Amino acid sequence: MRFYLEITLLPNPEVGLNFLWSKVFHQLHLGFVEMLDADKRGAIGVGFPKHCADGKRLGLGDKCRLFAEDEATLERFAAPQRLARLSDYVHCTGIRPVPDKLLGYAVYRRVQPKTNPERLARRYARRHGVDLATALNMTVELRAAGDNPAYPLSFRYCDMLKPSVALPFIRLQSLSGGQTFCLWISKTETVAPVTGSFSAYGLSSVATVPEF
Amino acid sequence: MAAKNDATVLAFEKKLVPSDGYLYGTTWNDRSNLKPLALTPKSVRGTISNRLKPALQNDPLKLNAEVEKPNLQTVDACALAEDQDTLKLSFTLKVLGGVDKPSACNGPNFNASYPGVAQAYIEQEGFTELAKRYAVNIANARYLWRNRVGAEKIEVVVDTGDGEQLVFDAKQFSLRDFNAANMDLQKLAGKIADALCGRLPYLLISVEAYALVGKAQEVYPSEELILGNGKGDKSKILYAVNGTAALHSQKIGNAIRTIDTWYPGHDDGAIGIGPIAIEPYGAVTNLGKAFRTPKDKADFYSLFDRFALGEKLSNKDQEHYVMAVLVRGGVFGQSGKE
Amino acid sequence: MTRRLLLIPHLQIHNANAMSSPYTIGFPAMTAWLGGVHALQRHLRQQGLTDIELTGAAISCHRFDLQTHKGQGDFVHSIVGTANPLDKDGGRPAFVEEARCHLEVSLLIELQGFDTDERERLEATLNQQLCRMKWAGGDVLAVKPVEIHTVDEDDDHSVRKLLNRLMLGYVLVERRELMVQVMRDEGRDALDALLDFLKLMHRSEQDENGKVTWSSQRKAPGWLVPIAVGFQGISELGQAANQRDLGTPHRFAESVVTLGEFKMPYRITNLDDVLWQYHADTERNLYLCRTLTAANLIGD
Repeated sequence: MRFYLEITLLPNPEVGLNFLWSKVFHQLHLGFVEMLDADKRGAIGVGFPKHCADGKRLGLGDKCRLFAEDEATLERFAAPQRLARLSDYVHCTGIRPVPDKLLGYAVYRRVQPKTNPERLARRYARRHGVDLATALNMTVELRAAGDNPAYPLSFRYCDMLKPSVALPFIRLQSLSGGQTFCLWISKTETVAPVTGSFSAYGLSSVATVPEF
Repeated sequence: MAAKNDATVLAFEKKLVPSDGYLYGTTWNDRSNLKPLALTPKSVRGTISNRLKPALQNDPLKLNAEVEKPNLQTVDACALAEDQDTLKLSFTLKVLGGVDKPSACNGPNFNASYPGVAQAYIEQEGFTELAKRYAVNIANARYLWRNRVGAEKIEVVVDTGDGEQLVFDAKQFSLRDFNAANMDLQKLAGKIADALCGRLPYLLISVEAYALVGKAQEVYPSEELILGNGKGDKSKILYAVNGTAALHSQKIGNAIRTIDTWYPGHDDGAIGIGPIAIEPYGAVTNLGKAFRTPKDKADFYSLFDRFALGEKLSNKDQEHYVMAVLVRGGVFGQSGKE
Repeated sequence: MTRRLLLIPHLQIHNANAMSSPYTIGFPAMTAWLGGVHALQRHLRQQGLTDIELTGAAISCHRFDLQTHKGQGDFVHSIVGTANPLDKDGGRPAFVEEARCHLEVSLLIELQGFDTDERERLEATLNQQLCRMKWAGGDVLAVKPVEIHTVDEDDDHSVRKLLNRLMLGYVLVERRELMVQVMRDEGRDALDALLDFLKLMHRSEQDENGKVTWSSQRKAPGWLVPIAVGFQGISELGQAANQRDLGTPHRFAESVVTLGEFKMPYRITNLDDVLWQYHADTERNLYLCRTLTAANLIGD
């Protein structure tokens, strides 16, 4: 990861940071999707230099950086144009080489709670040979649940709550449906860089981006 | 200064009087086709706010028992229709003069001094600086609040009642500073200044803002503040007037008076967040923060007590700020202080 | 007898104070409306129209939008508030329960000391001033140009024509006599008498087949409302610390609340039924707004 550009969100009294993150990341995500290769691998990684998840303070701060191995990839991504509609609320630097002096490296990974009803329903659908919509909406009979009367005998996945995770997140709208969901982002610091590809959100569970 | 501000009852009526802002859906290319936007109730599943115990997380059965506790909520939502790509906001803004006359005041010293001080400000400054800033905030469509974010194009059509429409490309006017120079903007600012100085009996401006936000996009009307427990099962109630989604007049007024770049720390990147609304303590609700504190002697009361009795403030900017608070209006008697 | 009346048509008011009285919310108190009329008169006199007197006012309500909310399943309405700005520490000050309303009214004001030569000047001054005023604590968003009418009281047609200008709406009339009657005949105190007319009685009846039917009824027909109409002085005239105006004597006072009724203008026959006037009874320290009709009925 030798080149980067930095995006700073400029919240104002009328528009808060969380709302801006939704709008900005939506645009970035559209761009990442466009740039995925045939194997759905992306060449641009995202870092959040102000990511914070200790105890009560959760947040992404007001900055993110886009990293790539070469300048051309970031030029092709054309961040300023992608964010043109948000120009009053976002500052975008030019493409710069990553500095020599680094603090280290970090993995920014998407975290999905295991009990996300859609994921559970997808698993159920695979195992029972039904499609996802059916699995979500059908009533699933449960085996006898012992003596505890609090346990129901049947339920539907679509009635389950969407749980939350103690990590900073961005609220996004899915590109297919109108559903909103939370993109939880965890940060793991590492000493050595690991190369690899990134998802359509610019995140990875193995590949690092430089920290400085 | 031996004299003291002796007004225990002191109130000023606001000089910028906005109406509510009504929201309509239309298309950028054919604006004659216009429909009021309605609110639609929407069911949402609440998220479990605290973290789940690990045992629960891995056991859908147990989790479901938790889920059985009903947590369904209804919220109001508002969006453009599938065939609409443009949001229209319309409101009126009345501008009045008479800032030299409090609507209530009982201090003899104050009454002897203040009108002269205010008239001197009007004579020297003619409200040109404030009027220009208000005009920029009309042109830049700041009053769209969150509806402004991500709009591809924004056009503001202003009618000041003389038969000539002024049209502004809102994106050409910054939200961060007030340096814009433009003939139409000067015209608008000139009229506002005339009204504030009392050279016009009053000025009624009608504003129509069009924002190209995209088909079926979500729209953000004002949220209602329900006092007490009367929300029923709704967790968010939006504002509508006769079935038309709307922005509160207070919200529009707040955006138009977002002209304070004179607060301590404005130029400091770590503190400043651009212009803030004119408020006695420089309060920004979203941030839960007051930027003008009595500790810094930067709040309205610290400055006004001196200004009203004829003392010179250390610079023109502070006078602009004090006059802008009076244009905002409010109850400023001694009892009005914390 | 000919009378001159000033019509202020379709005054649209935003965020007016919806305290009908110290205990009730709804249509702004009568004291607010006559106060506005008095402020208008003072302005006219400052503008050199020194002989003009605005001696009484009728008010017709065309649209009334009280800012309350009742959620599904709620038993009562809640006030929709407005947030006050943050305090000096950036903290949220306590919410103040101030009921607000948006409304559209027409005012019919009796005019005395009017010189027809001054008509144009009067109309121009009024049209200008109305847009600069506040009414019942609310902002004026729009108003139609004022009209000055002359009616012959003996000519029903001319009175009717003018009253029709208050349509479509409801005109507030005084119904103090209802309270007086109940207090006298049934020995009720004033508050009980007021409540007697406001409460809704639900009754059930069982016929010979055992079928139960419920009916709901009020004590008297009509749209009766409690409304503040003035003040009862409860201290001597004097000076108080921090009083609002040093040049005017001060006195502590309590609100006077009575019954009013909203009536369709076509049911009104006499202008004095709807024109409210100031009346000061200095013997009893009463400062009231009242209609001549009600005063005559009661005989005070």
